[in-house]
Amino acid sequence: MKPEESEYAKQKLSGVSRRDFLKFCTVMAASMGLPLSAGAKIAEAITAVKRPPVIWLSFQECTGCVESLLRANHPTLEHLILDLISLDYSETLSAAAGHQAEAAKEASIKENKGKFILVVDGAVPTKDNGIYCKIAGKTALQILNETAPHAAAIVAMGSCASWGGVAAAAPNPTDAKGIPEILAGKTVVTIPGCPPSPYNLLSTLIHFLTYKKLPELDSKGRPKFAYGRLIHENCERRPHFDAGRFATQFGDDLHRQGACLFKLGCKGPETHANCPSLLFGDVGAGSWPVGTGHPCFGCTEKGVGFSTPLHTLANIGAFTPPTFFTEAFPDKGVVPGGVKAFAAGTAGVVIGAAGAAMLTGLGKKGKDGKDSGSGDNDHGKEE
Amino acid sequence: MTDFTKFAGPKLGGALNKLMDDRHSDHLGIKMDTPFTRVLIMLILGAVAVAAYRVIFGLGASTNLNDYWPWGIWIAFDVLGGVAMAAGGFIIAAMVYLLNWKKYKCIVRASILNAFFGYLLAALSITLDIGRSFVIWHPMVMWQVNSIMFIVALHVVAYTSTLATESSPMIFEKLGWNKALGWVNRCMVGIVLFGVLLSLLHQSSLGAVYLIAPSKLSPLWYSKHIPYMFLISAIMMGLSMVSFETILTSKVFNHEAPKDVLDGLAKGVVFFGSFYTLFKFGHVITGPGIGALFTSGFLGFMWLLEMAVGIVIPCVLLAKKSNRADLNTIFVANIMVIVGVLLNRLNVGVFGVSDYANRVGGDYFPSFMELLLTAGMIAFAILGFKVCAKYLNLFPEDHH
Repeated sequence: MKPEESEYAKQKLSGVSRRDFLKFCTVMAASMGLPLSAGAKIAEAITAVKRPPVIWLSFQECTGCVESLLRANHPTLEHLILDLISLDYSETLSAAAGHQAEAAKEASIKENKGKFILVVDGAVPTKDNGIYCKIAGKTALQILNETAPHAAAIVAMGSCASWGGVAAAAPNPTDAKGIPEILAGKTVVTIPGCPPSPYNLLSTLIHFLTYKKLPELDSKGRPKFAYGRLIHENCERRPHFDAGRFATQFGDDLHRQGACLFKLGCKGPETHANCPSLLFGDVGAGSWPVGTGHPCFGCTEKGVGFSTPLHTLANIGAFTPPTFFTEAFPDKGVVPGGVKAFAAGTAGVVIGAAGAAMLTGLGKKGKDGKDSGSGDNDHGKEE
Repeated sequence: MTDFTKFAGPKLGGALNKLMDDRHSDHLGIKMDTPFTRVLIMLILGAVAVAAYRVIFGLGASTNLNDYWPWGIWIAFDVLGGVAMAAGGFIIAAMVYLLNWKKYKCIVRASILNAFFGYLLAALSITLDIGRSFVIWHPMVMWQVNSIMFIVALHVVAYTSTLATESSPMIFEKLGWNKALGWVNRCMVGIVLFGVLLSLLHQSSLGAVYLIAPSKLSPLWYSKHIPYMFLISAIMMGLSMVSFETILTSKVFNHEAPKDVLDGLAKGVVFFGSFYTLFKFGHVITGPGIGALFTSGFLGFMWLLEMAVGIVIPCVLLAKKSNRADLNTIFVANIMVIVGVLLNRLNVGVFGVSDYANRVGGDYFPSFMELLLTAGMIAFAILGFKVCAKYLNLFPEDHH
């Protein structure tokens, strides 16, 4: 770090020791799966004199995503918006209101053309020219199309912004669509979830600030560090799945004992997210839906959350459920049909072959005995 | 007969002419174009198609195997059974080349050839049964000396090559390659010694494969002595197989069965069979207890069937001297021993693990393709033997 920068950091982070600050940077690096050396780079990036401007647009949403962000504590919200980024527009968090807020947004866009980060939560209604969501007299569609072309990076926060989420659930009365659909052709990072873990957004933003580029994304625009694996793969209840111990009713014995929730309709096997490893709310183990005994709803996966009923069984793509899923430790007194038939068939062939051989072979004893006897004599002569 | 020098040039054509010369076996009266041969060829073609399907689409598509039932009839019947059927090769080779029991010389070639086919089929089946057939050669260069599987792989390769070498004099004779013939004959005792060593190890190591599965294999079969049980039953099976083959060839070809040889083989079956009976009952009494035969459901029945058909009845039949003089009785006893020991291998490989597999929800009935491949393998062995009997000097005693 250069001396003037650390001076700036000291001033800005009064009360935060250098040690704590670097620790935070290293934790952020680790949560994105980056090497430890990245911690230093992150520290450099976020102590840079000019904080990167962020414009946060909210459309058809419930403010859950922002609420989720408010609960982050490393960094805390105040640390985030006062020290890390310059949150120039947010309906929920702006001190300003009305025309003042709109003016601030206009000014920021003008000043930071091509440099600001655009975060959007909520879906965009498109039916009837998008009249079902209006802010300051403009439809969401207009606002988005005005703002997006000037952004350096666009992040769709939450399932609604990612593909429509609950707003686009059938019958989708407003014809709501996700941001990637509206801004077809542009790279839009999606952070699906209802709400998503704030750290997935923070990590993405900090990655962008540090390396001046977006983290690696999958085909749906989701950062791979957060959405690269199925919930099922890292689920703390996975051993119960593998052992065949399933809760079959809410509150039954196995449910109380923390068994697998697959049969209650858990969508973990088809949902990509890091919930089991990242958890929610920074309150320790078990603080995520499956951890508290509720099946995964599939909120981060288009076509699962808000689309399939909660109680339906998830498709297990990577692992076909074996027949023993019916019972945990079946004490079947009966032999399964296939091997029973095979054993019976084999026994039949054995008895048949032996019996036929004995009946035919031993019956002919007298007559053939003479023939083979003469054969023996001939053979003796030859030798 | 076709003259191959016309098609393949004087050198290769000449060699082919010599190979295809079947005048010496005219007296056997072997006809190649029979309905039976056609059926065999159909089965072989079917098996080839199955093998291709297996290689292209994988085990899941072609077999009824799954994670809970990973070893089916390709292992239990083709490999365990095929190798046991091949045991005759090393026993007769040892009797003739090492112990110099001359009267068995007339069957040594047939039994070694039979063993060669048995091992060839086992090797083919193992290749198709492992998940990645094309890396079957890995154990040869990537040694895992702590694994029984490694021992099995090494033995199959080494012993199949040994059997090929032991059979090679028949071909060299035919081609008139006297130099090569001389070499092989000079090394024969060493080769046979090596082969006997490998066989003793290999027959038992197939049983030793199951040593690691005490929780899977039913206690009726699981024993720390299972390698020895495999070895002894394989010796019984080998003797019976050779005897069976000798009688069968005498029945279908115009070829006289040497009765004193068959009597000797039958005595061997009784000797080893009696010991095996004591061994098996001793195991059941000291292990799970006799009562387990009647309380383990169909497994107890399978055990009793295997013992009755494979061991007790044939031994009782052959124990009587007058019965051993009767070809038909020996033949019947041979069939029973072969069927019984094959049943033993199926019991160990398939039925004996059903309790365990059932506990985790597994079930198994061989798929059509598994059965067809097995049938094709057997057909290949029969046809191969027939072809060799026609074109090679398989029964040298008839020639003198």
